[in-house]
Amino acid sequence: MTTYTCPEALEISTAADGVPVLLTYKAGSTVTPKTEAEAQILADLCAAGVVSVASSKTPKTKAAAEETE
Amino acid sequence: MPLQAALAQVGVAKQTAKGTAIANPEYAFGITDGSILTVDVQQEREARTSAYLASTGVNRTGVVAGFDFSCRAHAGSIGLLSFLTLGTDTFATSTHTLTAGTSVNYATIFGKQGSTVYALQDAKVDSLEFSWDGNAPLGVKASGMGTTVNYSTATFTPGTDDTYAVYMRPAGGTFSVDVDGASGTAAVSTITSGTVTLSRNLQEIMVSGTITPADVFEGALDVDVSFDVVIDDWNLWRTIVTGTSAGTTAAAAPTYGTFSCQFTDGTNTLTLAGSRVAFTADVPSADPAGGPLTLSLAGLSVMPLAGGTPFTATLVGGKGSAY
Repeated sequence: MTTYTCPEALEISTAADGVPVLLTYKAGSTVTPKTEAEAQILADLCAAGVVSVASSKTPKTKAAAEETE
Repeated sequence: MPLQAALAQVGVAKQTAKGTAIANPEYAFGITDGSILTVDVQQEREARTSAYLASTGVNRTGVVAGFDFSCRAHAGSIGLLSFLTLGTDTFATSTHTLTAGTSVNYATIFGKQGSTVYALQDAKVDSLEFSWDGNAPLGVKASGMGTTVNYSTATFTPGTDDTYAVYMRPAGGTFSVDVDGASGTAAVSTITSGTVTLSRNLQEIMVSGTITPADVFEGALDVDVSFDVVIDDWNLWRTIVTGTSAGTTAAAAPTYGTFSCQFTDGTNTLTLAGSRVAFTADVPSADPAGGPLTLSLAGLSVMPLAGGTPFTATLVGGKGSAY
């Protein structure tokens, strides 16, 4: 799961099944996307330089998890 | 006395839900071509034998209303049209970053001709095309469909009237196309004209019992671009075909590149950009009359490798909050 840092206040307008959705993030906040659509929006904003990655964790495979244990 | 063709305006407003038309446009503007409303009355002759050599009647199967007009790119209204096409707008300070979403919003589209106003509800944008030639103003062509039309009581009091506002132009902007991205062949800025088309592959849903669409539903977003580029050498064309500017055999896979085109209107700017574009180009035609050789690039803009938006429009200016 990737979390993002918002350097400035953001207001995001989008739609889910044709219904308007408004997301707001405060300046300096760290955002963990709650839905796949939100994760996609934040990834696009990261590519555009609007937000930056705060942390990124790749889910471990079962084998890797067992190895760690 | 005939109706006057030049007294026409179009308006747009985002709906809060399907089935809830907005009373007045959020933005209004004049058009350069097209009509204030389209209504496709679908009917055909009945094919049935009789004692006469003629059709016995006509079957009406649908009445599909929509819009299809050309206009200028005013900062406020082009932001809303782009948002309705793409699906997501991120607003920070004075900048809108418009990207592809997983759904798009419904809108009410208003058409005013003289004192007559029609309003189309539950509309979605099917196609939004940006085109320019040299430094002539950026042209926008928008089309789409909706469900039902208010033919009698629609009103037209726009929140923001862009009819007399300035509009985006190429002059003062920046233009760049790179056929292989960060690889060897350099980006070029000698673009003389171009087109960027966003297509939502909209479909109307017709249900038995109702003559107008029950809904209009978007499909995948296709982004097609074309640029005319004056060339000094064959590097662009050779890179597209072989993968590198010094390549000697046709490449089995496309090379992906980028484009970025920025238009301006005073302090407002609109930048259209794609980060993974597969280009093609025909060999430019020779011309006995002479002149600079121009390569016509055609590109398909797709998602980045890791997924994401195939296209980004960045608007500085326009609405002071997210659309």
